[in-house]
Amino acid sequence: MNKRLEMKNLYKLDNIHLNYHVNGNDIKVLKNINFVINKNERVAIIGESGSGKTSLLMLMSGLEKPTTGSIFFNNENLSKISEEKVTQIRRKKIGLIFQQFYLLPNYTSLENVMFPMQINNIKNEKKKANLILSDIGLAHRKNNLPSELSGGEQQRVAIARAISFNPEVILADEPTGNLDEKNTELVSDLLINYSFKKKISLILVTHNMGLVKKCDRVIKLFDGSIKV
Amino acid sequence: MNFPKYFQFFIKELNKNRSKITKVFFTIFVSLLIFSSVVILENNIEGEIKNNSRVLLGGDLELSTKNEALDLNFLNELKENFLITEVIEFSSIIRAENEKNKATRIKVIDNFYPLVGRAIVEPPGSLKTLKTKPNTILIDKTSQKNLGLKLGEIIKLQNTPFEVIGVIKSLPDIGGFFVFGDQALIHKSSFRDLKINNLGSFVGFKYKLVKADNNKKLPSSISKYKNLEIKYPEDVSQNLKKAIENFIYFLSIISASAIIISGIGLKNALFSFLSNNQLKIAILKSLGLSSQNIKALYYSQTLLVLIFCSLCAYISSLVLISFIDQSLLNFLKIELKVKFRIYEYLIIQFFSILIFFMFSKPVLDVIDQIKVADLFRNFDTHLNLNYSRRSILEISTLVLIFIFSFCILNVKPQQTAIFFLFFIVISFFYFFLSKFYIVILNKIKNVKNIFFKIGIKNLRVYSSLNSTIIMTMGVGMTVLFFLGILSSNINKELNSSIPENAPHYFFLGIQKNEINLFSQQIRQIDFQAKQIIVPMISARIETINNKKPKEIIDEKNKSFWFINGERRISWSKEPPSNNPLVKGNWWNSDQSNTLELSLDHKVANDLKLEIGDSITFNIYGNSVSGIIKNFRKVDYRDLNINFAILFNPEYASKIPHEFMSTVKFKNDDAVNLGNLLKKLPAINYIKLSDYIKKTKNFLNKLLIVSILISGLVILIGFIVISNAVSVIGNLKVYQNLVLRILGFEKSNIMKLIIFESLILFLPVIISSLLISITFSYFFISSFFNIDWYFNFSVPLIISIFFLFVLVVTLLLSNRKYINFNAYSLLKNG
Ligand SMILES: Nc1ncnc2c1ncn2[C@@H]1O[C@H](COP(=O)(O)OP(=O)(O)O)[C@@H](O)[C@H]1O
Ligand SMILES: [Mg+2]
Repeated sequence: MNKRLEMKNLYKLDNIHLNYHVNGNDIKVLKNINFVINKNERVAIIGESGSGKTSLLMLMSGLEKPTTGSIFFNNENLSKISEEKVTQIRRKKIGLIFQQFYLLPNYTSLENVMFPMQINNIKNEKKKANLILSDIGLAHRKNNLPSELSGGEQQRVAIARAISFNPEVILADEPTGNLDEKNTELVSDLLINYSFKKKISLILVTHNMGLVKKCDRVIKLFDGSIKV
Repeated sequence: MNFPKYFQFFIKELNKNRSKITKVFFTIFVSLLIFSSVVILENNIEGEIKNNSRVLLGGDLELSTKNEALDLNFLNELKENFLITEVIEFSSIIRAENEKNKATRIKVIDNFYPLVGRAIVEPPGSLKTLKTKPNTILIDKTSQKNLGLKLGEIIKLQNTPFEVIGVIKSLPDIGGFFVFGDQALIHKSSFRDLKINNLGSFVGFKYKLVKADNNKKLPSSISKYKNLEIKYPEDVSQNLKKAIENFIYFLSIISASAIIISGIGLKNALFSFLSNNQLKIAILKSLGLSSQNIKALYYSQTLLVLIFCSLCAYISSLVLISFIDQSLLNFLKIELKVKFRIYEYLIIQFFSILIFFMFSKPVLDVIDQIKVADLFRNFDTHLNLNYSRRSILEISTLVLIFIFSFCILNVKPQQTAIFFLFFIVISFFYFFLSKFYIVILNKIKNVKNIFFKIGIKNLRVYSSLNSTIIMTMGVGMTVLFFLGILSSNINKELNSSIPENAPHYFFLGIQKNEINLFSQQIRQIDFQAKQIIVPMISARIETINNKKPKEIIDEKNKSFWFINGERRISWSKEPPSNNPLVKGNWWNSDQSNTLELSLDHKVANDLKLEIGDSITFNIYGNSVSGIIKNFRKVDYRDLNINFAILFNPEYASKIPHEFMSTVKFKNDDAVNLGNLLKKLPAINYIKLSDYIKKTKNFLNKLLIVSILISGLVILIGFIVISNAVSVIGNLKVYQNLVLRILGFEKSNIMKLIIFESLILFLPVIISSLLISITFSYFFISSFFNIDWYFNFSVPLIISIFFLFVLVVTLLLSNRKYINFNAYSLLKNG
């Protein structure tokens, strides 16, 4: 029974603390964080600026190690395994989306979307990338460089890139933070729809209430702790 | 990522970085080009000299005597085992009918000449004619031009008429040294009437021998002939090699500087590339590429560039050298057969890969410092080049390997090592200078001026980068200043005019009974001519303090010439006015029974001779011993009469002797020696200005090559330095962008840039100038034996040029934000 339940767990955070050491002082950024996220679940993380949302995402993507506590991803303890292994997991199973889009600057939209598939040895990457790009309505922009795209278009390409290799989870840090109302709508729908369609879990940090409402669950952070 | 995918990615990245790669490519290419040319020259010239040395000697061995022909019986004995050609060489004046005349080295040949090699003459049959038709002569091209001669015209050698039947293009047996002066060929049968037995003729009898078969040896009776000198092809190649080694050594030092400078350039270029691509590398990492993957990508790109560079450089230098070969090396009689040799190519490749591991790998390892986390926090953590202890150890080992292999491959390992030592010492100097600088900057507080504030802050923040730049610049500028001062010194020496009181002519071979006639003739030419006539004999040093001279002094010693071959010796009642006494006393005029000597004090120093030591001479077959009485300071560069040895006159005047004379005319251009030479046909002269012109011409050619190559290195240096400067510029794009947004004007930012670079570069320029002045002083006075001279305009020009390049580079690398476009800011965050 217990084991079956764990199988459904995507993330399990166990008594997480994160301190930053600055000029001899410890800054407590995250305090006693415990939660579980199931597969195919959509979770919004909200909280004031500086409450530790980004830090939490960084822990969950394996880019940062907690000061104490464990993060289990598919039952693997991210805080224990090697840097290399974490990189492999991220490459195969985690898609990241940033507020600033961060597409590869000299790569066209198509090349950007193809890239994760190439490094994951996924076949027919060009065909698949083309499909996704027409799906998000950017087929006509596929040969443009990021600098030739609008912010909304760039973020859509970033989403296409993040889902292209069928990760288990997408971690997005304020994906609509830099977008206007119309593009916020577009990008939010894209994220949620793909999450349902491809059964990809979605964990996002956002201030946009519309997007929060579309999620299954909300985690509220206040000054580094979960507020119930 | 599997291999084909990775390869695709690799090619794509290579293509996207094209423009940056070409920049780096150029500096590395040029330095490797110089280096591979040196390697090729080194390998080929030596081999070629070895192969050619038999031809250069004119046989399997050469016997030579001064003054007299070989004993006939002995010659016949030799003929049983050898083919022999006899060549008598002497100096004489040839006179055209138009009264023009010229000092020439005459070669008297027999029917067998040349035994090896080919004499190339024009018209082709004229060498044959020379051997059959009496009183004919072949002269060289310059003589033909200078004397305005046509084929078939008559010239006079002493007073004997000769018909010019052809022109010499090249002779095989130049004996290891290219011929400076003009030369002519006559046949033995036309030789009888000529007088060649005076000291001014510098006569030499040479017998070139070719073995009848391989195991023939010289007969044992040879030991009877004491004045016989035997030369083998190796001896010839030794001489030529020594001369060329110096030049190649110079080239290889230059190439080492070039390699190091371009390596530093590669390092800076990679660093600026990484700092411009931090964001991209972070993104690649966020997508799941590991540091290892990304490093492998850039490692392989850099290696590929280096391999391609080496290949291009090697092939281009092959082409370059075969081109130079035809135009420049011909006068050395060396025909290089350059071709692609895998061994040479591997040497070049080896060094370029060493450059990679020394300069690129440590920089590329900075990739580890780039964090994906920066993408969340969204700002650039600027890269700092902090080498780990491990990579410092790695680099030091590689540097040692580099120096070691460079030295053992070089013709002069020790000198090369000293050069590297100097290089390392100054690198450390600049390293500590940069650290000292940071300490000073940290001490500066409470500045009000905003420019000072920002400028100092910047220098502090980018401190590790600044120390790289200070080192690059310091080493680079030191080399540049040094090369500049060196070439200005050589240039000055070459162009220094003949000393004011130097004579115009040296006349040699005047016999005792001809002195009056000679003086009278000179006065007839110019009544006011200043002439000095001194007696002269020729002698060979047999022993010094009863030891063989070669046991006392090594061949490498600067004064080896003193004991080698015949010495011309004079005597004098009074100490010569241009040779002040430095030790001992001048002689009294009453001791006519003992031979007393006065020596050049430099020579005496090198031979470790003291007053009271004895030297035994062989003078015209008799052994005569003398006691050293005093030392004189002899400056041969005053171009007046200078003898390394003087005898006391009371003793020496009893020895059969002849005279030499220097003459300084009122106006040297208007002089016509026609009459004098007709009356005194056997005397010989050296015209100083001609002689100097020829020497200068030759040295100038070398200088031009050297300046060209140094110039190339200077150019590389500038490119590298300007790249280093633009690294800082690029790093500060963001900061300056913010300054612009905050309302800093264009001019303010420019001021800031200039202010920063001035406090960074001024101390570097000054200290590199000081170091190179000191070093060049020691280098020039000890290696070149000339008076060091400093002309401020050279470093001034270099500095101005440098500052110009600096400003242009800074403005170019900063143009992005000086004329910035707010739109781009809004677009990409
Ligand atoms: N590298 C760091 N060193 C010290 N403190 C940091 C660092 N990164 C973040 N912080 C601090 O951690 C807290 C949480 O930051 P962050 O996770 O970015 O919050 P959020 O994303 O919710 O705005 C902030 O108070 C911030 O100042
Ligand atoms: Mg945040």
